[in-house]
Amino acid sequence: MKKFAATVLALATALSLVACGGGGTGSGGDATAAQGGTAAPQSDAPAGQGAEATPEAINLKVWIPEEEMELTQQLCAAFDEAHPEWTITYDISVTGIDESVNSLETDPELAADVMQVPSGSVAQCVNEGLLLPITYDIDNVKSLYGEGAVSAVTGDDGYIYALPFSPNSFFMYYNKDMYTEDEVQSLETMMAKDLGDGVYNFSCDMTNSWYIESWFFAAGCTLFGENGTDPTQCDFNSEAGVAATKYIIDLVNNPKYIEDGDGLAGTLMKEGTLGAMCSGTWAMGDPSDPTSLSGALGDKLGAVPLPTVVINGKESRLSNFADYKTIAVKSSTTQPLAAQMLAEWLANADSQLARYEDPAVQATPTALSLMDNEKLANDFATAALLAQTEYATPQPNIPQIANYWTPMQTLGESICLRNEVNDANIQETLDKVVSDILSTGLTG
Amino acid sequence: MATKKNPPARSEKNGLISVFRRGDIFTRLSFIIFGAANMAHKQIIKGTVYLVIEAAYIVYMAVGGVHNLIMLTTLGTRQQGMAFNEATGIVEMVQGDNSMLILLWGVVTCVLTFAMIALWIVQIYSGDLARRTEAEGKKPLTFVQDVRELFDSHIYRLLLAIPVAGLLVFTVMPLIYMILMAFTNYDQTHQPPGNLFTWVGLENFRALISSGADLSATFWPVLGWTIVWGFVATFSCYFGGMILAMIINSKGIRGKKIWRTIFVITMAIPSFISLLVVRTMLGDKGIINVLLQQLGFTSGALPFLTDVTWARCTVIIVNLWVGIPVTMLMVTGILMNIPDDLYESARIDGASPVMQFVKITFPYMWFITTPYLISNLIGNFNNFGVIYFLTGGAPSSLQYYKGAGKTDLLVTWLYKLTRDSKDFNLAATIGIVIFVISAAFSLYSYSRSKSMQEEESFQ
Repeated sequence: MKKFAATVLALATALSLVACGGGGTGSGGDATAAQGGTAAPQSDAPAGQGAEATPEAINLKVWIPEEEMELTQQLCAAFDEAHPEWTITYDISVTGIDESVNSLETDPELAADVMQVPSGSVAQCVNEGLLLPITYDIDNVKSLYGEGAVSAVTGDDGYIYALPFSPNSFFMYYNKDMYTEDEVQSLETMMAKDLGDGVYNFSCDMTNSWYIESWFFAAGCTLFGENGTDPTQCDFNSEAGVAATKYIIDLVNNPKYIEDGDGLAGTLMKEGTLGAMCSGTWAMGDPSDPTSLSGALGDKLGAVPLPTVVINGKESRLSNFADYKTIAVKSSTTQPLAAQMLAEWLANADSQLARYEDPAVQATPTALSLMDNEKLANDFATAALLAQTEYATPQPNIPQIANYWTPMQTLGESICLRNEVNDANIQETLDKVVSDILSTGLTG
Repeated sequence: MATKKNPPARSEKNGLISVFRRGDIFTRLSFIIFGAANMAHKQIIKGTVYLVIEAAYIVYMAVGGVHNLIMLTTLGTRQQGMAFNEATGIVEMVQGDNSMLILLWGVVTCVLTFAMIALWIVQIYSGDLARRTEAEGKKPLTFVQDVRELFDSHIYRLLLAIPVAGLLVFTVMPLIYMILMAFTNYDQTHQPPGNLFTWVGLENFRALISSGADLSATFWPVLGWTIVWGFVATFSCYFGGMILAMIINSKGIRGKKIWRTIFVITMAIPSFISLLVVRTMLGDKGIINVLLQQLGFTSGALPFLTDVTWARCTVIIVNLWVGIPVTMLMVTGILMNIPDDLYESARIDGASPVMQFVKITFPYMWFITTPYLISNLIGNFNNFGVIYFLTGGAPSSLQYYKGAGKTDLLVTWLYKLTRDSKDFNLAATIGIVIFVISAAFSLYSYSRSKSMQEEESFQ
């Protein structure tokens, strides 16, 4: 690309000056970033050292969801103040966590240096070479988080590629008028209870591959081996997998179960015609708004980790994928050091607490040091989410995971929408699902 | 035109070799040095322009072009990596080759090279013309005269230059780029910049068409449904629209304009909005299912969009809503044009309305609308909107490759391959297949249709 640019410039001299100037600062930036790097560790100890060096002007582009804009501006300003070796010009723009990966893939050159990505997309981005491993002061950074959070963002080469700042899994909401705290521990107990006519007992989104895996993991199945690192392993078609599928078929055919979708379960919960549903903190809404879940149910709303199920005579807890919201740095950044230090800053315990306390954001933190925070413990949804992460299964971090979503969704649809899976073809269906998950594309 | 003034020149062979043979030293020189002949024959400015362009091209090739072409053969060899930077104490990225950009710039270089070859030929003839003009004792056109010609007798060149250049840059170049992608392994596991992709020849076509592979088990059924859909959707809308137009047009119907307006209103609403609304209405908890159950017609939700056969029928029926008004409007115009005396004499002969339709209306329609039908058919093969907004290809099937559904057309499957699984090579391959099918089909049916064979006549 540079070569082509250079040629065009050879023809148009005026332009060439501009572009060469641009290229020059680019490479110069790399070199000076290196200098800044050596200064950085020192500046932490003697403050004078950093002040002596002339601050270097750098640009950092940050993508952030809309609701975190104000908070991020404050955090970034604080970062700038804490690092006298740089004068940072920020370009903070709104790109939600659900859009950032797509935008990064579309044009890595134009993408932000620092952005939020879901941990589920980290493996894919790493495979595409789009993320920079976070290596600055990494041992200290690692100690911030629990094991599950760290493993969710560790690439198969052992590097940490993103910083998990908030868990993003679902758990179970229930109506306290319908279930007691003991009853919601077991799905069998819940389904057995008669809640009256026109009231459903339980709802989940089986046609969504983020939800249906809980039953397979509960049955003891593994995806990509014990550690989730072997792209040739998946035993969803084992005896346990068949038992889990049968359980799901029985469950969705139970008239007391209602399949969630398009916010149906939330509506039913608010109406008081549903006992329990699976969702995340995003479903809570504003307690002061009577049309939101927490507003409509008020004190009646409870939240707990997913219940246990008995599959194949064995009782175990439903285990969903542990997903996190993370902060990552793009690989092609011109300021690798500053960018990853900013990412670490935005993901550290103080920033997490600020994010939790900001009424516009309210993101549950991951930092271990915040876990005994009183406010957190009193917030039942957050407590349920944190408890659920204990039972969750780390989502495999190998590129093969990209093949997981569609076959599992199709399986869920075959079961729930079309009633296509029965005792006769259950093994055959699961074999096909597994071979699709393990498929290696054209050559396979 | 020059040949009329100059008959002997016409009798001479006009190939490049004959030009070389009969030309003087400068003409021959112009085979290597652009504009040499023009400059030698008093067209200094024109010759200089040619020379400057050649020089620019050579500089470009030396600086990057040749490199681009060489890289094009392998699409890159150095993979992006990571390296520990001791100075900063962090791991940094080491940039590797980016196959996508290599392919892109390779295509640009190739197109530029072809443009240069074209210019090479143009300037040889231009130089030869200058030589011959001078040999005849006339003065070759000056540069100013040449430019003036562009606004006069050669105005077509000036006017066509802009669209042709636009076509080259915005259509031909991307088209070549995408066609080439079909011969690479640019799929999910070979995404730049982290990975390289390379040429695989006809492997993608083989995987798509050959039996046994997972992919062909998706391709053939999807192709089959695409063709079925194309024909059924086209002809159902065609006949539906025709019948509707005839009913509205028939004598004795009051308020023709009101009826017509009512049906045309459906065209005023963007079709994707109607489709999305219908999608919601037909859902398991949608208004239609709820109403049917409340009125006691069914006990459970009807699987309008979830069962394979239901979904396929649903899209065809809903498509009538979008398609019939368009046909109706067009057919109305044609109906009014059928000479009334044809019907009059038919009535005198005692032909029934059915007979009149079969013998007069329909043949007339068929004759005039064949090209419309063909283009409509091709349009329906590629009818992305209806399928995408109504079902999104659902219901999905485990028998199909990565997420393709039972109502997916080739074109919506192509979309899923690029957007969801990033198998750009397969998408490009399918794109080529769609093009071949559409082109072959339209060529065949156009050439066989009456309206093409007997363009002037209708009996």
